[in-house]
Amino acid sequence: MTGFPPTPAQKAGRLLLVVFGVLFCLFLIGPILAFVPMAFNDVAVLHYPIQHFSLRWFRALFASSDWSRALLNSFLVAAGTTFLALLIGVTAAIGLWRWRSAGKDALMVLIMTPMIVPSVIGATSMYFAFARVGLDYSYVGLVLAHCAFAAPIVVVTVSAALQRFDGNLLRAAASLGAPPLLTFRRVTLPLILPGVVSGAVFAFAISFDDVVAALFLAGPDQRTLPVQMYMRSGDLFDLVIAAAATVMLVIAISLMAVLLFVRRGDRLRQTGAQGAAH
Amino acid sequence: MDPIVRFQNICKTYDGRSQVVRDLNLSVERGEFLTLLGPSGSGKTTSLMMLAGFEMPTSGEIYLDNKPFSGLPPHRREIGMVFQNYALFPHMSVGENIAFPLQVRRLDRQEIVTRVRRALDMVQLPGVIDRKPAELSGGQQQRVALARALVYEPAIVLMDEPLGALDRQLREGMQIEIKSLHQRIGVTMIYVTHDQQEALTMSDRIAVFNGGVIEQLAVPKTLYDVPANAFVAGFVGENNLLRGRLARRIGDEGEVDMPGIGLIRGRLGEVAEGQPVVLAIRPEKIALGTGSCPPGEGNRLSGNLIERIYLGDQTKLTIQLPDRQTVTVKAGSLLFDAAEGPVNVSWAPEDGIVFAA
Amino acid sequence: MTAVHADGALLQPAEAKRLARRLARSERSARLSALLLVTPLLLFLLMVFIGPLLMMLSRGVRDAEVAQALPATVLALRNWRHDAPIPDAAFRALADDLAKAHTPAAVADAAARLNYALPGLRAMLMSARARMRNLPVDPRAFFVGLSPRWDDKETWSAIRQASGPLTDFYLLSALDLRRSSTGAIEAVPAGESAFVQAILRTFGISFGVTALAILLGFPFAYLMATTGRRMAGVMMLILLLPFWTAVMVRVLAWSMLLGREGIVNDGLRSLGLLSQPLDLLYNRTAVLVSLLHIFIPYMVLPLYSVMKTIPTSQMRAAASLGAPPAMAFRRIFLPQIVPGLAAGSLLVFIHSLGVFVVPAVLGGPREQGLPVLVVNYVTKTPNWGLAAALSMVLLVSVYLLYWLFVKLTKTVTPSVSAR
Repeated sequence: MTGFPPTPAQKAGRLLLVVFGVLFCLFLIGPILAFVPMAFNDVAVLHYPIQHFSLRWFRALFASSDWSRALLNSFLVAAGTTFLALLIGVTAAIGLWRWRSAGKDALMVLIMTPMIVPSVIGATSMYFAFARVGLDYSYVGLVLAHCAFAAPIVVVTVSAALQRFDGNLLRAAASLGAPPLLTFRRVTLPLILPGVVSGAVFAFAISFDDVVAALFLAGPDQRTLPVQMYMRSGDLFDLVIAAAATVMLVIAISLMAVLLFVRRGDRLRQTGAQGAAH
Repeated sequence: MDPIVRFQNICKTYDGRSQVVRDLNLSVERGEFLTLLGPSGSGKTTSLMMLAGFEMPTSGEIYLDNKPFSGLPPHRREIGMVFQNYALFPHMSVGENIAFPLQVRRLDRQEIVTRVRRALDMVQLPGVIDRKPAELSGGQQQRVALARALVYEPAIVLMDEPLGALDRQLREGMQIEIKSLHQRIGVTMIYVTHDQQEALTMSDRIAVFNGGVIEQLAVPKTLYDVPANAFVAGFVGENNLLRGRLARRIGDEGEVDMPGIGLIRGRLGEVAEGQPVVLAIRPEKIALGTGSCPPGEGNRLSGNLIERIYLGDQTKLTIQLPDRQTVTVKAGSLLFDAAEGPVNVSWAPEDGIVFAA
Repeated sequence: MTAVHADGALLQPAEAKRLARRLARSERSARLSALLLVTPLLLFLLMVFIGPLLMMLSRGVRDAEVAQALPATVLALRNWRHDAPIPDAAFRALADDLAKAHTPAAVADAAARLNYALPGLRAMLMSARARMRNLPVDPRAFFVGLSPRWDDKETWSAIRQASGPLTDFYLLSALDLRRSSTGAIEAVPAGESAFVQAILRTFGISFGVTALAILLGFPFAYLMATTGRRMAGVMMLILLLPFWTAVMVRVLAWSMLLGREGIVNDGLRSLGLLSQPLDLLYNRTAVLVSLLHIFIPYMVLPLYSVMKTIPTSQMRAAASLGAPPAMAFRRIFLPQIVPGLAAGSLLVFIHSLGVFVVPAVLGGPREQGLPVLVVNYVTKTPNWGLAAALSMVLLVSVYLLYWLFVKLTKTVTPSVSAR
């Protein structure tokens, strides 16, 4: 960043900075990775080094009806949330992209509401309202609640993709004789697909991550994995919880991988398009 | 008088294998306008950066007023610099940008105000003192960068392709302005560019860089009229480079054998008989005739006119020779009417120069 | 012909009007199609989120229970001033109202509401209703006979102040204030309530997290911005892995690490460095560290992207103009970082204000802020009015900060692009 040869003092400072960076990286991933080996340990205490490799906690996880039900619920609710959030989020993003009149910012602020309101307040509000119409303790209620948190982020990611989308392409497609719907399917959608996929990943992650809304809105039958973990968080002797956390970690890494893959492809395509400029 | 800056045996490598600058020796005279000209990757910018202190030479030494220089950090070198994209500080107003070097030097407030005003007048930009750089046009930003580099009166000002981002008309205006500024205040300017036209317009002397070495260091006229080698001949100004083999030496002239065409005479550079050579002939030195060959001394070739480009004040004609090489001829715009087909070209032997290929 | 049309002055008035109409129509249809596309999301959010939110918040200013259960009493007290004696009509009306309440449930909500304002009033009301076989001849004697507090103006003041339809009772309570029996706003006695303390605690923790995030996030972002491309990519991955891991997993990770039976204690004990386990959890430090771990990307990402926009040539220019490195850093680099720093700080602050799981699982009693209180008043000791009022306090703070964020960053998205 300085852009010129360092003095000895600067070199020492740099070394210090690098040491800090390494320690901070440890702080970032250490705690997350520290419990993973415990999930594969044969004994029921959090103890290093690992004595015997075993999958008993994972077997227990999938054998327990509570835990396996929670895992299934998490997937069901996240899938429903993703579908619904994409449906209304992508539509709205395209509408906003076409929005030429005033009031777009105010509209965006309104749409962002669920991202700003603390989740506790949102969750209690929905609990309060859903109870009146019998939607509490139901899958539908839970999906609706998660979708409220997830739809705005779909709008954000798809809007970002649309911002880079050249409106002239629509005119070009029209001049070549393509009707609007065909243009959307063959031109618009493929180009904004990275934004749509990111939105889907975010929506899935938000639903999968949520504790607070599920704590209020899920009955015993709809209990999701994070809620199950929350309920059991007092009892760390039960290492099934470490196994469950490991499963969630694997899911997080997969989601991140999908996102990185999509972004990289997107970036490659963009640099390819700019080709000559660079 | 001693040179103000002297590069002595400077080498620079980034990866330890390929050398960006190879054994550079260069003296800069006090008060001159020296241009480092070359294609990208030729080492001209690296040399400038080593002088500014942003890069360290791998070996060799740079002297300022005969004192070794490379140990000094950039902020203590007292060298002004104008960057490619101006590097104006976006969070400061124009006035604050220009005042910055004066504040660093702890001048008193009144003095700073006076000097900033004077610097803005000097670059003919009064009345923008409170604006932010982003509110100015490219040309205006360029002037501010210039004012900022000159305001603390450094003995040397370095410029790294400062006009590259401007459009052609603005660029030509700025060339004249920088040139006259240089003549007025007598500062030593070292200017990096890849634009040979710009170099010819502005410089007292030009150093042509290629592959990390200086191919030729000369005043513009010498560079144009008497290029030292084929690279300089091709890079500075437009030139036809015809390939052949040196058949015979006749005093300071030679005869080049071009298969299918015959023998062509030209001034000799350092070449031995039998060697493959390049004969350089400027387009404007070539005369064009149609029909029968015009009489007279010199080289006479016949060929086919295959392309005409109308340039307004003149016409550029491309003629294909029997051996498929082409020559470009610049002629008056009336010749645009010349019909495509067989033509004759001729030029005086002393206008062509023969280099080793 | 086109040349004539391009010159607007030559258009015939009728034709100009026709063109204008056609333009307006095409613009209207474009606007309409945009609106139609946005509508599903808007309707969804209004019905599922914004509507319920407003409904819940309205509980913080509504006062319907007492007016519903004791309509005659409310009417009788309408014109009573605190400096006047308690009117006989009020006693009679209350006796009427209670006599009409055939089951305890009919006055239970009102009794609960009155008890918030004046502890003990619930019991007084419920027992009066239970003894109300038939209308007493002397209602005043009947009530005072049950409890001498029925002769207190404070009791009747509480009923009158709770008669609705709107109230500032909950909002005042959320700020440790109340109305005296004369109606003036006063502070609640020290030790009775501690909402202000909880509010300050919430802000204190958020402030601490933000300060830590700046302190540690700045050098990290700087290192990322100044290192090579590959290294920066690896650092980005390491930064984003926790970001993508579920909050619950991160919280559990910390408790497995720091708990009394956790990995750190176990390690230290098996190394013989400890005989008794250390209490590393359920304190301020554990909450701060864990929140920092969760929210640090919100600081690093904006900082990093601002730092990346400062070209090397600017630092070189500063040096060539004579500024030593420290000065160039302070006068050229830092000022340009400020927007990223502000955005990052606000994001961290906003998100820390609303966090529930971390203090609930990793904090002790002294780490429980507003969100935990809201949850408690919804589930453990239900008091929707107070929960709503506390939510309002939290929401107003969050929106003020968000407004600042929009002003400073000119974007409405309160998030970072996790690249």
